[in-house]
Amino acid sequence: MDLHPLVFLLLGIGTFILIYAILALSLNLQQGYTGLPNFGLIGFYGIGAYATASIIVQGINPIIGIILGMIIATVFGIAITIPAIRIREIYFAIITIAAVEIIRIIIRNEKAIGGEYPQLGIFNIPLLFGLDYEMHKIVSFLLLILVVICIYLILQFIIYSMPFGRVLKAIREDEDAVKALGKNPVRYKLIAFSIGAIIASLAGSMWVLTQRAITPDGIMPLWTFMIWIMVLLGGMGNNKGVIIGAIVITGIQQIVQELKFYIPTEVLDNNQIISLTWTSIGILIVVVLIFLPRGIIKERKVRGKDVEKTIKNVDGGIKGWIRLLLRS
Amino acid sequence: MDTLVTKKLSKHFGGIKAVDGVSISVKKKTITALIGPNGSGKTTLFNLISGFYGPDEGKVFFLDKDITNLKSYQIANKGLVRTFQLVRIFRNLSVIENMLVAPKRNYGDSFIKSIINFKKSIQEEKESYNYAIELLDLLELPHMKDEYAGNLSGGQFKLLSIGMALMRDPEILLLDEPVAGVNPTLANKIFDILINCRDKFNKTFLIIEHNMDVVLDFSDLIYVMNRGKIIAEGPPEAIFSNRGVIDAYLGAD
Ligand SMILES: Nc1ncnc2c1ncn2[C@@H]1O[C@H](COP(=O)(O)OP(=O)(O)O)[C@@H](O)[C@H]1O
Ligand SMILES: [Mg+2]
Repeated sequence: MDLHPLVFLLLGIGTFILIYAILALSLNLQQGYTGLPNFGLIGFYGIGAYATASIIVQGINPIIGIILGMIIATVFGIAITIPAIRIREIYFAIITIAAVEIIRIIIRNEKAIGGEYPQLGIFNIPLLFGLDYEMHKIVSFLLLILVVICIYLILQFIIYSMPFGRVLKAIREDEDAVKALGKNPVRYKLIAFSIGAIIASLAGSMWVLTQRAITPDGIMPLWTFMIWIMVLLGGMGNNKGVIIGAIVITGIQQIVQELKFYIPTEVLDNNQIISLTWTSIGILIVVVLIFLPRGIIKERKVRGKDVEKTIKNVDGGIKGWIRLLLRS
Repeated sequence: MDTLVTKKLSKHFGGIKAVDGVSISVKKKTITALIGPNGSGKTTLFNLISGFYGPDEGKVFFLDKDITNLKSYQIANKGLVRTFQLVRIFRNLSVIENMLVAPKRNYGDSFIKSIINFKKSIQEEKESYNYAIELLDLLELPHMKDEYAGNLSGGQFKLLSIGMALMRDPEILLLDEPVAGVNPTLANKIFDILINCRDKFNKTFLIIEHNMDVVLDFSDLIYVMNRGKIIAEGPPEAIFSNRGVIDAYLGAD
């Protein structure tokens, strides 16, 4: 099959955007709704990516790798959050960033995890379903769209249809008040953090399956900050907003990256183009947050009517359920 | 059997004995008031009873069970619910959502249970919702239902936090200055609501109030605290003719 080069390019950018959208959704559950500032998000992505890559190069079914990544990410997430989850947000942020740097350094140096050449990463992941290169690109893109939609719907369901989700928002607002109402915030936070870890791990697995390689540089703290920017820009506490944030930020990045093929190096060299990316993202976020301090789409207010609708939809048979799932 | 009993509770912060050997008991279906000048240790006593602080010495019994070492949320789950002097609500959630965070749920409180029994958890939600609407009516807040809680006035904050506590259908409610900063008309109304809860639903109240006059009309029994100690206890008439109490107030204010 012959894809038009522009279509090919757009599929590539789209794939990047969708992977970041998954990560932004994960951070939004943790920070946006629950108030858990995970500054080590990319480490959980790394766990998923390396677990999946290692399993695939062993010739084992990638599904096993995806599940393994999710399990390790959850266990690791609980292990670092249990000591950190009772303390103030700022310490939580520091602990997550430190713990995840440790992971990256181990991966970079340990052959058992990081592959034959751990500094370089794991390569040669086969094409999806034995497809040819172009079909692989198309299928990757469609698969990712499906994954993003599923995660989006699940998260909307947890936050807006389950009473559980409301408690997460309350914990973000005031933890002591939640305790005074008989709920143990630690339990809720562990669950929210774990769901976020599983989603981030899935993003890593999807990266490996679609991009067919993972390098230790792919889990630098820098990428966590990128995802934070997407969430802040798009709208903390709004799942649609953070997807838009991922589209805008990744879009800018990828398009400026493309520019380097059209701009002569005498005008702008590669380093200058990278600086240009960051400068434009910086200006964008300052401008947007001045005019829209809560991001492009702000958090949705849940009114009495919304609660009534949920109750009504649950009583309304299959149709009600579909409405319940799609309403958000 | 008294609903709430403390035995020689003490707590000090550095050199300050904030609560010093306090023993009180609150009878079922009463409104008991805890008064005393600022800094006399009332709020600290609430924090000790509700598990937000651990006492240095002494014990707390709720319905004859020792709850001294339970965590705050476990105590709330047993039916002892408190409000805060500086009202703590969920500012960026709507008023109705604030109310709906509160109830004790058999299904909805647990993630796994509420997924397996999602329908039942929403059945619970329906009951909570109807109850919340009823309470908002009672508290004269129905028109604020969809407003951000952070946009309420000071008095409405207090009303909402009382409403949230009532959502849990507690055995005993500890209210920390529920009418401070509230205009007298509204203050009377709040107390009428509490009396209504006491008489109709057999609820018990322990209420901190800084202003002596307010409690005169509404309380069944008064404890007076000064410098961490209980200096007097009795029905309102007796308290207000007590020299020591008046001295404590005049001395402190
Ligand atoms: N967390 C705390 N740390 C240090 N000192 C405290 C703390 N809480 C209360 N205190 C002190 O304990 C005393 C009693 O305070 P409090 O219980 O708030 O009094 P009240 O509620 O009767 O006004 C005051 O001297 C206060 O400064
Ligand atoms: Mg006080």
